[in-house]
Amino acid sequence: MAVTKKLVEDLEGIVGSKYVMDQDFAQYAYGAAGIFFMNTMMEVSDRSAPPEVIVKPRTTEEVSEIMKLANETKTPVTIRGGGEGYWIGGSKDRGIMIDMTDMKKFIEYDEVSRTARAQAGITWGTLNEELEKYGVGTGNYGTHGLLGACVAGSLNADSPGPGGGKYGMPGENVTNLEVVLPTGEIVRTGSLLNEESKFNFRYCNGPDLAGMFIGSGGIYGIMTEVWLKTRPLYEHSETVGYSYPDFDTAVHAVNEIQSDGYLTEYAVVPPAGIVEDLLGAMFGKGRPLTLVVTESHSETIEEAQKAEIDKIAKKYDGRLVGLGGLLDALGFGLYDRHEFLGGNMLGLLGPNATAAVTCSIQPLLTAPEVMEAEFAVCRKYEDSYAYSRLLGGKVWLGALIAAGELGAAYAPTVFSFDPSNDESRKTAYRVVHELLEVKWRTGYATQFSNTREWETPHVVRRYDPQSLELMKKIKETLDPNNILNRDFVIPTSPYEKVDKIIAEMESEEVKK
Amino acid sequence: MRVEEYKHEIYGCAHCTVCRDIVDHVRGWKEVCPVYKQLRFQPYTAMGHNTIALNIVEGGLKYSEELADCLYKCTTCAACEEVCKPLSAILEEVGGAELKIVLPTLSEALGIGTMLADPIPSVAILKAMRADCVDLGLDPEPIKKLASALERTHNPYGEAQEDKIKWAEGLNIPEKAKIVFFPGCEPAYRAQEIVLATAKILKSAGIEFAVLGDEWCCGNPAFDAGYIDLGERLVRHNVEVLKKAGAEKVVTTCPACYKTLKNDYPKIVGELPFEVVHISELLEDLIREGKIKPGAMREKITYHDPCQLGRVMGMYREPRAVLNAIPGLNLVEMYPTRQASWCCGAGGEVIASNPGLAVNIAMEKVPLVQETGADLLVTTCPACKRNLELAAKRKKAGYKVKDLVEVVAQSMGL
Ligand SMILES: Cc1cc2nc3c(=O)[nH]c(=O)nc-3n(C[C@H](O)[C@H](O)[C@H](O)COP(=O)(O)OP(=O)(O)OC[C@H]3O[C@@H](n4cnc5c(N)ncnc54)[C@H](O)[C@@H]3O)c2cc1C
Ligand code: SF4
Ligand code: SF4
Repeated sequence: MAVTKKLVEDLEGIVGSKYVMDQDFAQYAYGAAGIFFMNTMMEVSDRSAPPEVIVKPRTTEEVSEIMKLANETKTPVTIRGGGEGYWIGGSKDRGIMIDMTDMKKFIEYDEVSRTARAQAGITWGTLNEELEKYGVGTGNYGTHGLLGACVAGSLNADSPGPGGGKYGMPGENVTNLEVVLPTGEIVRTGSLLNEESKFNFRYCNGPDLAGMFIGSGGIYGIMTEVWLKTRPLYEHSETVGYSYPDFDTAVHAVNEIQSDGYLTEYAVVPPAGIVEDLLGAMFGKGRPLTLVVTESHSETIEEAQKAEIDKIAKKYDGRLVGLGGLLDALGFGLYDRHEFLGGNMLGLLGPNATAAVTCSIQPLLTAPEVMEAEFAVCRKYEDSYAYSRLLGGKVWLGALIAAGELGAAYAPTVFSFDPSNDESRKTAYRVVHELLEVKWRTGYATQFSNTREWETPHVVRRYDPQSLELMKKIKETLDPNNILNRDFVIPTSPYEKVDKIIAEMESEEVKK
Repeated sequence: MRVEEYKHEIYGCAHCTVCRDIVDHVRGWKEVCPVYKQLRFQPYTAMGHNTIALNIVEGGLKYSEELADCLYKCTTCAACEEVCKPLSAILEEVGGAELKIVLPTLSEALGIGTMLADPIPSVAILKAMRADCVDLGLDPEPIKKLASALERTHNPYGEAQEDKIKWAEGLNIPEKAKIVFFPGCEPAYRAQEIVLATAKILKSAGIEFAVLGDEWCCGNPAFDAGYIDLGERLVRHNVEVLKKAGAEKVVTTCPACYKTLKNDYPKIVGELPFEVVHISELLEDLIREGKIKPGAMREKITYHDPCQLGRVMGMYREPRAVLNAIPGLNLVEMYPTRQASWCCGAGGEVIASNPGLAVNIAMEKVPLVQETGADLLVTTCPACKRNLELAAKRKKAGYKVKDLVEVVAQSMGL
């Protein structure tokens, strides 16, 4: 149902008029999220419409009241955290957007269960700033270099942030959640199912309810409070760099270093695209660069860890490169706990360029095979990418970063295009979908399960029907009016444009 | 539409949220956008402005009075641009804020333009949207009044031109000299303690300087408000009268005048036949050359970086050098400070269009000053001084607020 004046007034009644906006410019300001490329690649008519009203609750009770009201009036609701995820903003049916960024209170650090409790809209930056007072931090920092993401946003988007190589994905650091269900009821998970509990633990009191909400793109409920594991802040950390004879050897070396427990984070940069010549000139043709980050609480252990890493690297014919130390000296260590990017990083790709990114979670060991297929797509369209004055070429590249502690890698493939040029954006749209299709064909997993027009069309055609049915049934049960993050993860209509690209790809392949 | 000129830049915004409210104590940021802190919604941030601009450029959204009202709430403090500079954290760690200041020149020399240092020009995008609103007659009433005063009287207050140098009566200051003191409207009409202190210091240093009876507004309020043609007329007039006065060096005390004369004038009239300096640079030189000798002052002070002088013009060191040259003065830095400094709320004509918002932003500064234990808050901008003074009074903060020149004059016993 469309948002009426009465509904706006009722929302104001819940949160106060200062926390509601419905002017058209506000709607549009909330009508985009993540890098603009999502929006700019699409025809204006294909984009999701901006929300009609934006509301900023500050308490769980307010969120609950909003959901009850939305249910009564059958108004669609979209949840927004930091708004930097790769999704498109708003629901096709417009409705209410709940901006969670004022649910940002740090509530407490519990020394007994070593957990942090905070409102779910808190940013990773603020949370860690607070925790530092207790000498602890979150294991995973939610998202690389951008501490403006909210904890709940990262949890719902399955973001693999820094620290994942040792501490796992952000979701693996959750002990408990408080969630407002689409119909407005408030539930808690894990040990907190027992209302008397003062202990924060996830795997107890029955099924792991937290797991149902994590990575769900917000379709099953709105996280209002989170409890996260913490760990003491390390005193020693170093980035060490090696180059290896080839991509495959490099991932085997990193995999061994990780499985022996010596690293917190890693990056593998294969010699392809814009970095091919540079890496070739620095380390020899075809040699990729790897960076691994260590951390420990004692210098002796740190040195011992580095010695073990060196042994493993040598076994794989790795050559130590000074870059890691240089990055640390520059304050650009891979596992840095502050904003290292600076907003306009994409400006370095230009002038007149932005980046398109496709991301997936892959097993580290077989990533080279998948990435080679992606690189073939990148090469096919190379002429259409934007020229970078700084890097002296047309930009595309791929990399691997730790996604979890179990040999899973986060694999972004990036290319640049000129978003103000119609031809360039049309081609970019095609390249994105060819890349995604190539990835998912190989059986790999979507990172941003909520990204609708992007990953969803590729993923959904591959879901096994029973599992998809289960997801739908849970959705129908929890959200009988289908109002919350409608169309996220479980699409309700086909993606014809993407389907057409896939069909064209397939017919080209048949011809070949 | 003027905003279309920025199409490439608008599309370039990564929507990374960094310019909204990051907390990053390694780089000294407590929060970023002062207006977001007050108004809590996306349209009041640079990221929101850029999203709005994108939708205007693409035709989905039209300008309206409501949108104009939103756009005139930005203080143009450029905190958003500061955090948007690529790799800025690393650069700060390696070479401090100074590295970021010299980086444009350095990267130009490397043949890669200024891109290593360029943020999304969010403030320019905002100002272009304001100018579009003016073209469509949508700007808020107080802004229309301000522009009309500028048009009629060549100052934002509607005061008589002859009153602009009333403060100089009896001081025997000529109208022609190689060095011209350009007080600007706010000091000349509303903060005469600043102009008087400046004049006394210059005289005591033995500097022969002029002030101009027909000095018009520098143009900054007009450019901020989106009245570009009016601003350009003010600029051309001032350049003419400065030329006639034989100016080789123009001394400003107001950071907005300084920024406009130094950065914007050459874009409008080409290379200037005179040099433009801020009083803090000149004071630093005079102290170094021994031409002025500040006496001892036993006070604990803290310094507020005016946005236009600090973030926009990169001048952080000079005012501190002057303060540190005063024996006995104990300068304690606020947190956040320098490039992360919290705006006073008055800029971008917010003081005219939304005075309540301006003072609310300034009141956020009070606890930051109090944390330092300073008895005196020093700044070097008349608008900052006025707004910070008002905030301190409202909050019964118990510290005084002074301009740098007042402190120097006091230390010299002037
Ligand atoms: C320049 C740039 C670089 C990036 N780099 C990385 C990277 O390196 N690694 C990475 O993982 N990501 C990266 N991202 C993506 C983004 O940073 C992450 O997805 C981030 O975790 C999103 O957090 P957010 O708070 O902005 O969430 P949003 O984008 O606001 O929301 C993400 C999802 O969570 C849902 N949601 C938000 N809050 C709640 C809640 N309280 N309850 C239920 N559902 C909720 C939303 O509906 C949406 O489906 C990058 C983004 C940008 C713009
Ligand atoms: S203006 Fe800069 S810092 Fe702000 S969202 Fe855009 S790219 Fe990020
Ligand atoms: S200039 Fe200042 S007030 Fe305006 S958007 Fe940027 S940070 Fe906010």
